[in-house]
Amino acid sequence: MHDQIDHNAVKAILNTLRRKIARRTSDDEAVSMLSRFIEELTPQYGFLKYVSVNKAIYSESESIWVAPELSDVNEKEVFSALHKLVKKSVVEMKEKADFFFIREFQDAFEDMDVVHKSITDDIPLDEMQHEYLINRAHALSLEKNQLLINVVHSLLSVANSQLSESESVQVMEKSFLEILPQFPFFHSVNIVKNAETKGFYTVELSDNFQKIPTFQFADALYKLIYHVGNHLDFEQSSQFQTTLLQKIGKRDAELLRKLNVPIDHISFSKSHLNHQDLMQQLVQSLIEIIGERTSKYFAVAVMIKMLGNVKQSHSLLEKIKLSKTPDNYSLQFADDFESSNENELRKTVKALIQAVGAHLGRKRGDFIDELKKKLGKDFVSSLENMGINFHILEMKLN
Amino acid sequence: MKKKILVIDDNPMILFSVKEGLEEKFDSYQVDSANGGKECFKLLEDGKIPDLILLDIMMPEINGWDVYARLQENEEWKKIPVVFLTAKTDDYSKGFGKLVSEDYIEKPFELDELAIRIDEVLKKKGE
Repeated sequence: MHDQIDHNAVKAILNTLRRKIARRTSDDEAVSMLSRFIEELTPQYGFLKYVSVNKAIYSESESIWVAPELSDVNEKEVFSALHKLVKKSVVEMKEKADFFFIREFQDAFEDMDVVHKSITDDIPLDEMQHEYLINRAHALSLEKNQLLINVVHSLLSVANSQLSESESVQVMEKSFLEILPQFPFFHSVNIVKNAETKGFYTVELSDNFQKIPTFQFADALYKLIYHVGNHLDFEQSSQFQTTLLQKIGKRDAELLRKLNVPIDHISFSKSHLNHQDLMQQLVQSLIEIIGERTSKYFAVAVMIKMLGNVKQSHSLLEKIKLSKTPDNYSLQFADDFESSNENELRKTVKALIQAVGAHLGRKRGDFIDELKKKLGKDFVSSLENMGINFHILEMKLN
Repeated sequence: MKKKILVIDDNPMILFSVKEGLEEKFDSYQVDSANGGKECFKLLEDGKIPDLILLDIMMPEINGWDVYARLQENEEWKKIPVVFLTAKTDDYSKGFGKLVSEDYIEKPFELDELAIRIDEVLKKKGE
């Protein structure tokens, strides 16, 4: 591990923290909060004098400046100061500093290789997140088993408003299967036909969900809701949301909100975009963007080359073949492309976008904006739900 | 052995100055010139395969982007390192040009600098 951390990495960390605070408060409040924390911590960490928070001129990416001299300070010391800054932010924001604040902050570094290892080693974000949720779960007297049963029941009931009982169960089972790799504890959820009532199915748990860490439990519930919603044919996400809230009931809906399961902001793509559609749209959009500035013929050649380059580290691209045709191009997929792992697809998509935007300098922001426009709302939403953070991608370019 | 360079440009002055300049000032290059994409492909079809191509972008008939794309369709030609030599200096052209080429040199250029960049590409390819 390096003994020093680059001042630009610290600048990136602080600006990310500032953005995450601003999302929950306001830009002004975030800047003022961080200025105050830095002032308070400077007697203990003298090197914080190299950090300046620009109150007067607010700019999205450069409101916090870090002088190059900070690169000479011991990394452990720097991370200790950063840890205190994050902790102070959580305490200061109280209710606004939800579970997702720490997680989003952590996720923001997933792609920043320079700092990722250090930040996860030296700032105990997992621990902080866990601590936050344990406190929260106690405060809520959370009965996870009962909550899960109610959510599954409610989802079945929502599905049943569109489908037959057996079809509803199929949708649930399909959704469970999709998220099982991430949440294996869902193995112990059983949907069984209730012979006594001759009516609807009942939900039984063969394990105790109380022991599941609360943050994981909350995440699992959201993913389950999202996947079920995505399989149903609601015209709009809001219709699904309203129906689900009615079924869940006020008490448990409030519980879910307190756990920061975003049940009031469920957004899924109306169309069921499969892996092939996503990749096809991505390649097509990139070809259009390049082609509009150069030539279509060149754009196809660039994409063929990029797919080849990225294939070296992302073997999923072995299953795609882009070729030029006399007037256009064709994109062919191997039969098993659709069954590819979603995590692998996510990494491949990110790598491809980064490869194409690698040298765009000042235009990188425009490039990401334009890519989002070309992809279209549904595709962007699907990619974001898959874990693609376009803002981080923009930061990573160059 | 002299390194064979093919310079493709629609401006005869550029063709002349690159050919004469590189051949006279430096003893290590043999430069062929092509006035546009058509001439370039004729030379290649005739078997005159260079060690490196210097390619202008803004040319009539076939622009440099399309010349590059067509080079990639031929198994032998696609192996030739391409260096864009162009007055197109916007961020997008530079960004996308650098993605696939070995280098992207903006006009106007210094002959010495051009020779250094050519040597760097050839050295890298040789490794």
